[in-house]
Amino acid sequence: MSDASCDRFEREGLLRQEQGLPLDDEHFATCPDCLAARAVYDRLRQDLAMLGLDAQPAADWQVKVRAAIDERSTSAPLPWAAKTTTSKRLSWMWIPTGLAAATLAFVLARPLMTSPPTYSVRGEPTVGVLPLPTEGARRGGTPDPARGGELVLTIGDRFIVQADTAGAPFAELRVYLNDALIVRCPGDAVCRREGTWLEVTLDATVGRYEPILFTAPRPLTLPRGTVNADTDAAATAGATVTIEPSIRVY
Amino acid sequence: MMAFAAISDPEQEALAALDRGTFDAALTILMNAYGGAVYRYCLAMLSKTDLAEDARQLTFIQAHQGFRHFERRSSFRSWIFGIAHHRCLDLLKAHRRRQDRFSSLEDAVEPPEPTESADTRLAARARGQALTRCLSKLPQEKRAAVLLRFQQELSYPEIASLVNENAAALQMRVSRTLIELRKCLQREGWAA
Repeated sequence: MSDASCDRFEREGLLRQEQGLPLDDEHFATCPDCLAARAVYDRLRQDLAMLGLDAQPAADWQVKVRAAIDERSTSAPLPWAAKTTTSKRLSWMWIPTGLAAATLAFVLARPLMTSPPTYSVRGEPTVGVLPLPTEGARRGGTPDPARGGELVLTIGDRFIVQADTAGAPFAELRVYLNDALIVRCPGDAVCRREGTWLEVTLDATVGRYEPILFTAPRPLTLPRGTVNADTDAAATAGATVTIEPSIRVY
Repeated sequence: MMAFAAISDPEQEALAALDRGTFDAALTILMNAYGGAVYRYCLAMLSKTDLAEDARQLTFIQAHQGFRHFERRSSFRSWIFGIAHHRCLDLLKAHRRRQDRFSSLEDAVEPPEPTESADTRLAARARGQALTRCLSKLPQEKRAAVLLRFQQELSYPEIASLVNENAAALQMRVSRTLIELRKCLQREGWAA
């Protein structure tokens, strides 16, 4: 397999093996380099077969699968999915309920302040996440203590992310899905702004959402697109980073 | 009088459960039978334990949702791995911008120099970690092909159906990928 050795096994023998063909050329039975190469690849195949056998995955994974299935099976159909023509009106009907519940969510939220605001504020910047209710009985998303209190939703749910910038001169609510920036508010079409409030309504797709509010006394740095890069850059620039527990969607 | 132990066949048991309409029972059978293998595949594909766990959970959630539409043209095993493969690709795509995607293998440690005096088990583990690193450097289609072929021991027709590709092309890809892996292991200090 070095430059000086015979590489015919790699050029021909390997493919023949994968094709299920016999290595019936006498060369493969007599060439020392080919015999050595064959042994190397036999071991490599064995190694691949053994890969991960010592992995120790979560013991309760089946429980989580069942919980997600149960959650999905007992969810009522979403009104905006069932009645497209009335979806907008129904969504607005839920806003007052949403705002009231968001207030509660804010009380329960645990914003992680990397540094105290250095500007005049009427309170701390806060971020809240609220699953939008469906018609009839609604359980909503459930915080999962095992995952640091993150909210668990199912595909097709909708949720609102609301942030109070607390009067910060510069503020931006960003939402990341699987560590990739998907929403900037203000800026994107899904963003609503009212006074010091920023609000984004999203349809839940599979993955992990992370809403983060950036506030600062001076213009924010442009996002780089990932949670770590953006929070590091913002903190370095003196901005305040407020993080809401993430949302997991199955 | 001789007693014969019943041989458990998860494929037949799961089919019987579906026939009875007991999807939860079918799910349990398949999770017990293939959950570990799906996790191993996803871990090798994604290089991260939390992502692999997510992919596995998503796989079986989707399987449960898809029982009604399972057409019995393939085994449950290849059907499950088809789902797992696509969920892994979804997660890979979602993380494609993550800078440390393949460089921060959570459980990886630098392999010790393979010496004759090294403990065999430790050496095997280190070699496995080197192989995992080498796999993580491959494009996903090559990684998936060798894992499905050798780790999961699926046949080429099964893999071809699963990834919607030609079996002959897959055979060619796998043989070339083996060479890439051999060279990578050599660079990592594992000559043979």
